[in-house]
Amino acid sequence: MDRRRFIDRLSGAAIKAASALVLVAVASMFVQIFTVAFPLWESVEWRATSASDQVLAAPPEWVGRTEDLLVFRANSRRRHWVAASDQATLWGQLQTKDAPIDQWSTLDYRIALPPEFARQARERVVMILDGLQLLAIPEPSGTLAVIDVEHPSMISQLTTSPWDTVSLAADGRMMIQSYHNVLSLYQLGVGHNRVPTVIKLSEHRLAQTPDQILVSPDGVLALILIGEKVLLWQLYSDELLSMEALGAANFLSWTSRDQFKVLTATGDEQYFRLKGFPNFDMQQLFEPQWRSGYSSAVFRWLPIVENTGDFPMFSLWPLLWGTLKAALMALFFALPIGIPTAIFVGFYMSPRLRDRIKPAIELLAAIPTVVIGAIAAVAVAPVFYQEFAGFLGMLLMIPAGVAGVAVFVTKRGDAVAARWQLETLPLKISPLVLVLAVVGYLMGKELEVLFFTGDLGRFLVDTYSISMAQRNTILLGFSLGIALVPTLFTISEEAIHAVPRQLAAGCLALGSSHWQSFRDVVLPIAFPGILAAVLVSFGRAIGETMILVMVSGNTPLMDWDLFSGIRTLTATLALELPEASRNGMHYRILFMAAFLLFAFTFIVNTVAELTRSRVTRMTTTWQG
Amino acid sequence: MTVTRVLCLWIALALDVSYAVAQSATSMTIVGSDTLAALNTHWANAFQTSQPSASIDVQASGSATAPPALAAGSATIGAMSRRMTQSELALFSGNASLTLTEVIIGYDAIAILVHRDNPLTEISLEQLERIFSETRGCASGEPIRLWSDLIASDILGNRAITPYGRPASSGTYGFFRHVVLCGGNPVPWINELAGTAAIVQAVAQEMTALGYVGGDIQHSGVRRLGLTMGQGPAVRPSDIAYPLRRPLYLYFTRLRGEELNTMTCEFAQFVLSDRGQELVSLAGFSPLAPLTAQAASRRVCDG
Repeated sequence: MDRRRFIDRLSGAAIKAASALVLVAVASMFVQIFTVAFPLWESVEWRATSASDQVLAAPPEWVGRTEDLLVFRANSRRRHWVAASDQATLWGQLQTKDAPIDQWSTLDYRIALPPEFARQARERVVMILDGLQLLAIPEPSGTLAVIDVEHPSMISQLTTSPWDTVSLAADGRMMIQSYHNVLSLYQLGVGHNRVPTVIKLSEHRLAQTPDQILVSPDGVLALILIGEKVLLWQLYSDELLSMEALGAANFLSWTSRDQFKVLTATGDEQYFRLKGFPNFDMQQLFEPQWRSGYSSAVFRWLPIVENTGDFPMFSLWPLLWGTLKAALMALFFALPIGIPTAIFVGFYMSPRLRDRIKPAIELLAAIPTVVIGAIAAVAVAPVFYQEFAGFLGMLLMIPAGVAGVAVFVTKRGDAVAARWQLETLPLKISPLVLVLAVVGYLMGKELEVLFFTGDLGRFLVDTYSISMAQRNTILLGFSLGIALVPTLFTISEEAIHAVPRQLAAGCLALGSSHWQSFRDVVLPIAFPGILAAVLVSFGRAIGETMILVMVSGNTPLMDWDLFSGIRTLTATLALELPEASRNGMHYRILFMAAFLLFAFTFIVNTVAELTRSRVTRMTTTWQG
Repeated sequence: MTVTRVLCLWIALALDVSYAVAQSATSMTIVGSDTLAALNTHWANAFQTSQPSASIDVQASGSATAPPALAAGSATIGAMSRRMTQSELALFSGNASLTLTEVIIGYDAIAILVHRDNPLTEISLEQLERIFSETRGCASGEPIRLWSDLIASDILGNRAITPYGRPASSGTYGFFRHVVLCGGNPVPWINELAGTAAIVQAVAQEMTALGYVGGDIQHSGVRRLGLTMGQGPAVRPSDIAYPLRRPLYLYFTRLRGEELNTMTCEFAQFVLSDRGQELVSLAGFSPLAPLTAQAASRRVCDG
């Protein structure tokens, strides 16, 4: 007796310990993900280091000066550009590498600069935009001339503030110092039909006139020397950071992308290295960004491997949008299948049959999602694409046919609608669904020939310019929907079945029909459970990965188009996390995305669980 | 009883580990590129038949995994489908004892793929850029979205081109973005799939697809396009003049100021030998020119 009690206690303690362990595990996962993402928000620090150990990469543009002429050159992989200018003329040579090995075709040109660009004796800065085709020449008066190299007569003029000095930052950004102490940041871009644009991004008014302004080699930071104080301007997060601790500085220079040299008033050289993520801010993740080459601010997910000299864009909206679009599309397919099946099995079906049917449907959950994904991507996608009209036919025919049968049976009156038949009716008509599918398919094909010139895909392209990708949202929703059906079915069926039979039986005894007793008595009690089922499957759709990686096409688009692909948070994590450089900005932003995902599914599942526990409470009250 | 068993197991494990450490002069680990995985295994097998005492372990999980493994000393050879970046090299410049030998062991042509029945046979770099790039670093024309802008054909009509490519972490993506897009931004509707095989499979089943992949492609459902530049004739991926060829690298670690150890040196020379280079072309890559390989082989073991 004592021994049994001991074992009881022991197992009770073990269960408690195990559940505590689960809670601890979940909490520590949360903390773990958060600690990886958190350093993104830490403030930028600088530490004194020994002399430079990194090689400074050559700047992309090189500017030199000979006597009165300013010579500049620019290179890209296929174009090489040499030009010179004095006060009134710009002449130069554009070399284009079209052939595989060192065969350059050259284009000589000479551009007479308009009189308003007659220069003062200041350094002329030239920006090269849009693949070296456009030259932007900022003028101290605040005019910006943009010259199209291929059509030199076309000079567009844009306006900025009048300036004292101008420096170039990365990615078409221009930093202007005007009225002595005002610093402003401009973004140059190229819009539709190659019309150049310029946008003012920010403005800072300093206390004094700066002595030196210095953009970092990768163009994302600027050091500003005022008196003996140094400020760090983080151009992408647009924050000004005062670096008091540096001591009295006299002259600054960058030695690598995150290291700079300070020459003090006493002539000492000191090296400092920046720590942290000076170019991270939340704006980058959630607000549209201005970048060179775009005519407006855009949302883009464009990560890059670190240190390649390109500028990543980390907008989370396309990923969030894709995640939501995929989940809603999946529910669109899963709800009409899952919920009615649950109602039928849980309410109408005889217990004997239910015991057989229920496990069969739940067995669907045992199919690994990677298998569903593989089948959808390899076998279904091409067929779906070619036979889209047939698929649409089926999609219309099956519900319509089933509804037709239902109406027919109801009209025939009591004899047919008797209870024993209702119990098995859907099973009897399930072969009919196959017939309906075939009829729907043939009808779709027939209509395609009759109305859509025999090829619906081409008809859509020619008439409405809608092009269908093989990896599109409809196919994705369909395959993800199939993965959701077992979850949706099981939870809502259990909620319906848990409603005490006596209640429905009482209704029937008082003369209501089956549907009336379901609608008015069972459904109100089971509704929170069905809602919980929908929420749980929604959470599952958000967290699902493998089907999405394989079927979605992983295109970070933000549109309403059902024929285009999407990219979700989970698929992005699966694709990019393994090769993101550890503890880099991309890596930490991916963890932040994971944190959002975790928080979201956690909330959805908690709400679902709360509603579900409410059902259990209600049903036990009724039974009690 | 059980405690003793567990203890025995741990002791055995510890002995095993120390044995492995002692044997490290004849055992090597190659870590790195997924593209080079098959070739590394072929090399390892062929080398072990000639040197039965050598044991070579191959791990392929992406080029980016090679530098940390080499710097930590857990691997002696790194295989990469791109060159190490400045920050990766900095792992070794700060290292007092280890340094690197870099060897180019062959070339990989990035192939432009279309469906087998697609009538297009060649494409220019400029057209590729206008299809794949949103901000167009080099090309000046309007973007291309439809097949009718490339070729007049009945099966394609004016359907949209479905571009396929690799995710940003892949070395192939970086190469393609820099050489073809001139550093411009790729359009967001490029379908990104996890592996080369997945892209080949997708292109084989989609008539409107246009994809780029590195490495070996043996699939009857796809065709590789020739590339044209300027007025010249189209260049095939197997030609030396093919513009989308990238070098493949092996990195060997050695103690600072010393030569490669004997076994690693023999392996390096084997890779550059005629037999090693034959395996390169069997794996679907382009081997080095014989003279280049010989010259590299003479220099490879020096400190």
